[in-house]
Amino acid sequence: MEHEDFDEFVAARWVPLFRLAYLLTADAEAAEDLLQTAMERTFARWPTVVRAEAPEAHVRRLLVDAVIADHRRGARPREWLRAMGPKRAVPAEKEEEDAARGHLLLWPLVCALPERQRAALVLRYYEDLSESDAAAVLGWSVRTVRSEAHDAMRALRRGLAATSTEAVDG
Amino acid sequence: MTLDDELRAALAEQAARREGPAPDTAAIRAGGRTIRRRRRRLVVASSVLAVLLVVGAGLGLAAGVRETRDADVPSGSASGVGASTRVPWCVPDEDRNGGQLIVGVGAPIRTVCRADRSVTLWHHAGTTVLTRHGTTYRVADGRLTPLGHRYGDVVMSHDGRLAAWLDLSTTGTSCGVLPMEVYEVATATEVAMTQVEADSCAHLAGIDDLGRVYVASAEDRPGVLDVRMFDTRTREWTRVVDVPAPSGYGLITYVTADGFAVQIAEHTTSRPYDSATRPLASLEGRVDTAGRFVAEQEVPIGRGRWSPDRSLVVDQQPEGVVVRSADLARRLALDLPPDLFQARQERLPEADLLWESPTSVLAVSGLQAGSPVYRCDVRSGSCEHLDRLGQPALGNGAHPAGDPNPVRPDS
Repeated sequence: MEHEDFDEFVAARWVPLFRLAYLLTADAEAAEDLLQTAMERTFARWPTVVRAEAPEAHVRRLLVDAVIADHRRGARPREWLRAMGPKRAVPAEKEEEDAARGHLLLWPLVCALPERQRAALVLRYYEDLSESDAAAVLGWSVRTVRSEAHDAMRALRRGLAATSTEAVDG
Repeated sequence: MTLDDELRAALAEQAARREGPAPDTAAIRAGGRTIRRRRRRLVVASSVLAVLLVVGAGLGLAAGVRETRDADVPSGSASGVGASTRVPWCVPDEDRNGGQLIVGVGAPIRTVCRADRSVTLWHHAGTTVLTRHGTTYRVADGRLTPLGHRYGDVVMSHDGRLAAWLDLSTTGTSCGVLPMEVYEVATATEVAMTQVEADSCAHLAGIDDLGRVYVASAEDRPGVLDVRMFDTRTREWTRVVDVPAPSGYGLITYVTADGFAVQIAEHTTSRPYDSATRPLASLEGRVDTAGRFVAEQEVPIGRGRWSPDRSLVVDQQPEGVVVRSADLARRLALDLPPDLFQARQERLPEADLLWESPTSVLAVSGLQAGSPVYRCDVRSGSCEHLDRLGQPALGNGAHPAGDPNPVRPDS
């Protein structure tokens, strides 16, 4: 069979790459589509991919590119986070971190981030890539990665603060 | 625990919950081979084109403009378009939070199909396709059949046989040289894989009854309309000449049986930040075998949607949504809510209009998911709000030839 090592690669790395795709898209159906397409493109260039770099890094970059490209094409940004906004002055950073009670509270806020910010966070905090490695995957400068991640974290803090305030109010 | 740690834990927890479906390596391999074949064809086509341009320049020929031979022009066909269509709907899947179902085409198809332009269901003359995350699918027989790994707005021929789209996946914009695919949808057969040759940002306008695909570009150049025509039979690109300068930034308003219509008047609001305009009137013309636009008639039709039986056209005008007979002898305003479908100083409506049958039109104000949907009887003008979940598929503006079985509005 043509490129049997490709099947081995898919079998070994499908689940972790699907999980990455899910975190990038926040949508299981979209993640499946993205990964299927990325794998097809990888198979189309398999000899070159194997020669040039680790296949997993190649697929990872295709996934990230696709998510960011969807954003560029005009997929409507998710405005939920900004629409909510903090109802009161944003508390100090320590207080905000205290407000992060439980992981489940964070995921909806991550989903509401713009695709670029979410991609930066997922690569930095899920894939544990350094800023320079994340920049290489995203095709951005290190400064841009830092800026997007910073904006994303600030949005998360504000979201947590708003949620905390609502809980107190309620 | 810091926010960094909380975030790491949250992401890891969400990821761990997802196993995903088992990979279908056979399908992945098949898709990969298709991509490879297309790449090769594109490379060969680009190389041949480059050689032709060089040779053409050497011979003193005008590069990029070719004459179409009479013998290459096929006879038109629009079979099967008179029948009522079953418009598919994208509805929430109550069993899956965030998922959707396509209903109305065979068995329900579980998928994601929200009509927000990134995942869109397109329907015309009984043919339905779905564009989603880099892939275009045929929607039929209760399943999705991949047509191409492409992305972009879809246009269809009036008989619904052919569908075409640009590939925006490479650049993320509609500017520059772009691959374009044409498919025969029913058989999932690739008719052509080519490259748009427009000078500027390209807009896929439609496919006429002769199988000619029109691509227009006019961005940032008011009054200049560059139209290219790709003939699916001869597989040749031709620059369409003698196209009149359109009004404003208007492009092709709709495609006709053997040509297209260009905007000649538009409506705008006075608010400076509301730069959107809506076409009010068009100049119809045919495109001859030499690629010349031959003007035929001016019509008070903007972005017209033509009925399946070829007798009526519906379009958004400032005063509301209007239906006219093809001979323009009759005009009927549909009884839709004025606050959604009439122009105001601060807002220009943009209705998405779709022929459900030769006598009924579905009308949606705007393109946002969740907008109310109305069904209008084009004989009486009466409309009813369809109180059902989800959104109908989007339409196509192709205008066919002839008038075999007209259905006139009553007033």
